[in-house]
Amino acid sequence: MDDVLKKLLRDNPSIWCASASANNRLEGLSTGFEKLDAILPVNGWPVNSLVEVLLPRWGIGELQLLLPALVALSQQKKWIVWVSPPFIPYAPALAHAGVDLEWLVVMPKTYVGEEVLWATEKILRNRSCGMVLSWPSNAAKLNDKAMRRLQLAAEEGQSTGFIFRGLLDSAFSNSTFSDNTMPVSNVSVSPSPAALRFSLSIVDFQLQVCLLKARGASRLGRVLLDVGSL
Amino acid sequence: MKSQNLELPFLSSSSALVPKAADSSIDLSTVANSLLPQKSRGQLWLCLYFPNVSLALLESEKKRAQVVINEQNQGLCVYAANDIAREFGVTADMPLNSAYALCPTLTVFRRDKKAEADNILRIADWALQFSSHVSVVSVDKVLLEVKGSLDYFSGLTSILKKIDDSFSKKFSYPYQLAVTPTPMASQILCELSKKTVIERKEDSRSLVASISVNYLLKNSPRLFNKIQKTGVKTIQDLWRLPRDGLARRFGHELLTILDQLTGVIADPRLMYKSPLKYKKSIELPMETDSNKIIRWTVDQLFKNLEIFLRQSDTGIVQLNVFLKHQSNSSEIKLRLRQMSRSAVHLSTLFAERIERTRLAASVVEVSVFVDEILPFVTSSRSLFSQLNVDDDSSGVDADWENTLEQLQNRLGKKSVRYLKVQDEINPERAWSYQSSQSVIQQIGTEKRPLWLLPVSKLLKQHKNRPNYRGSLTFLFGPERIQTDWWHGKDKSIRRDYYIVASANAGYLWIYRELEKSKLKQNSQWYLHGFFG
Repeated sequence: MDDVLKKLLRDNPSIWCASASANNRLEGLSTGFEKLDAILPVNGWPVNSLVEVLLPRWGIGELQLLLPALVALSQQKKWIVWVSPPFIPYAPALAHAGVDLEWLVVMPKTYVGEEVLWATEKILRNRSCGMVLSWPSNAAKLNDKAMRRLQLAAEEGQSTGFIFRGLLDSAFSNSTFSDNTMPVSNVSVSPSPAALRFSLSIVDFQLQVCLLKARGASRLGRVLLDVGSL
Repeated sequence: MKSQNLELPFLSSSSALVPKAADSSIDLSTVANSLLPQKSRGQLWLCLYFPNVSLALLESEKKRAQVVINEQNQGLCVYAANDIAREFGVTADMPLNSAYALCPTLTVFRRDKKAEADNILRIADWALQFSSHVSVVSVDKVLLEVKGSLDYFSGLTSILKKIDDSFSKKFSYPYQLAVTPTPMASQILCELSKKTVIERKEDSRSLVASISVNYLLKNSPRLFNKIQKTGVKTIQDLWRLPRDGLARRFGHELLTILDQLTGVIADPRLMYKSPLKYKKSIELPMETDSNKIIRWTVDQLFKNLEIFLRQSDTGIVQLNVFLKHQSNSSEIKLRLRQMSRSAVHLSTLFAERIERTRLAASVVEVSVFVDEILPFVTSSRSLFSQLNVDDDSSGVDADWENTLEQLQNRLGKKSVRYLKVQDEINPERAWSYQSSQSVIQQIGTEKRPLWLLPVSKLLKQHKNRPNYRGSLTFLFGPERIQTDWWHGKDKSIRRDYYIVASANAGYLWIYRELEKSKLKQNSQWYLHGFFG
């Protein structure tokens, strides 16, 4: 029976074997949270690709989630660039957490304007870059083609790109924040060329990470993380 | 038998030196000097002379009789005449009227001193590739010190051939050259014959001896007149006269010139340095709106700029590109993060910029102007700044700088910022942007949110408790921050900061404004940051 299977696999390259993919795993960048590493296909953040993060509103815990990775990358002397962040990355807090500010570059929203995607692509493509955190302004422009370009740029530059997008949320439509309007679209179901995609929400004062797409994973799990430990 | 082959340098050099006509008063000092053994280190000066360069620069028909005229104290005089004019008998320093009398069909051009000056500077720039010590003597003569370059060019004949090839490719007029150990001798000899090469001092002496004093004293006409009146005709005649007598009658200047001629004393020449500005324009063949054509033309200018910078071993940190329209012109300033002279790099930057700018009108002429040219330094990082862990670190870093530069070029200088912690109690001021990397270790503050709101947001209150998307659970606080009281009551900050949890929005940093007056008012609650 084994011989038959082996012959079949050998002659038909289009048959994908789940166990085979487990052997050629690239090591990812550890998220810093064991429970999250366990459900991610590369045991951490994928190194050469795009990660889509969907949130109902900014500030619910996405930075805390990335903080261990930021600390690790800045200490490896890799550049971390924030493109058009919605608020101000607070230097004293970042420094206290262990992030080496020397390797942080911030591109304020007012100067980047509509060119978020262009800037993100340019930086991703550079090999010195470790991570790009990007908040695209116009959801309409972030189509499949644009995402694919970013994914290619991330692969070429061997950097990780985090794209933050808004999730359609009934609570959000009552928002009084006029200057930080989030791109409202039901993106959780649209296809994406990113290697990893997950959504964040608050459940019981804890951050819930739901994997929506994970290249190489056999199942899409979800975890609750306690990021509020101060 | 060996003794027969022995050549005493003393005897051989002296025999070559004795002047043809034996004379009682031989200048002893010069003779004594030439008896000293020849130093292996010396100098070789190459003088390039461009006869009638003022005529050569005229862009006109050469078939007709032409003269270039100059204003002199007596009126208009002929400065230079071309071959055809000379056949008629027109010579230099002839009054214009006489020239017309000899040749009625003369074409007259005014001397363009600026064009001649520009030309000789261009030649000096070109000459820099053959020697590091180039000196401009006049508008038609350039000196190069070539002894230092002989090793590099493997010999005198090789360097002369290279000069010949390069010159005829670049410039179209004739030249004459002379190579001697002293600059003065080269200057004189180059006027007299097409090519003179003398490598030893003694040989130059004998060649120079029979030259008229006129050539020696071109720059001092009064001195020349004086000497002429005494009946001295050639340089040899001057040598024969006693030195103290010459000094007394004509001054020490003459002795200095004579000594410099033979190399007894040094004749330092001012080194030519390239001008520190660059300006070049190209007129477009046709008025155009097309980015592609403009970019191509500017690329040509950049290539020319690169050659210029490489020749003079310099670089630039900024440049201006002017696009001239029919009635006005627009300017594009390019600022570089690091000194550069790469045409490719400049072209990329310019291409990015021109894509973003909307042209006011169609472009007629394109020019590049650099007003600050600096000696070229390859980029070096400071001692404590960290290079990338990857190998080939210098290459990767330059790449990163390039990327940042392109970003800034397109989005503005302030689009790329670094973060810095400030030692301030006031939370809004405890951080700042800065435009360069900080090298010092930054110390943070604990219990601070990762996101700060640029402007704190007033929170709604429900039953005297602050509300943000639902109720808030107080976790930590209060942290009293009180500062800026010295700015007056209005600007003083008295806040109690709390860390709260919201069921829908994560962990928040809020504060309560403390009462500023004795009156107990409902204090306001504000949201200042997210711990998310």
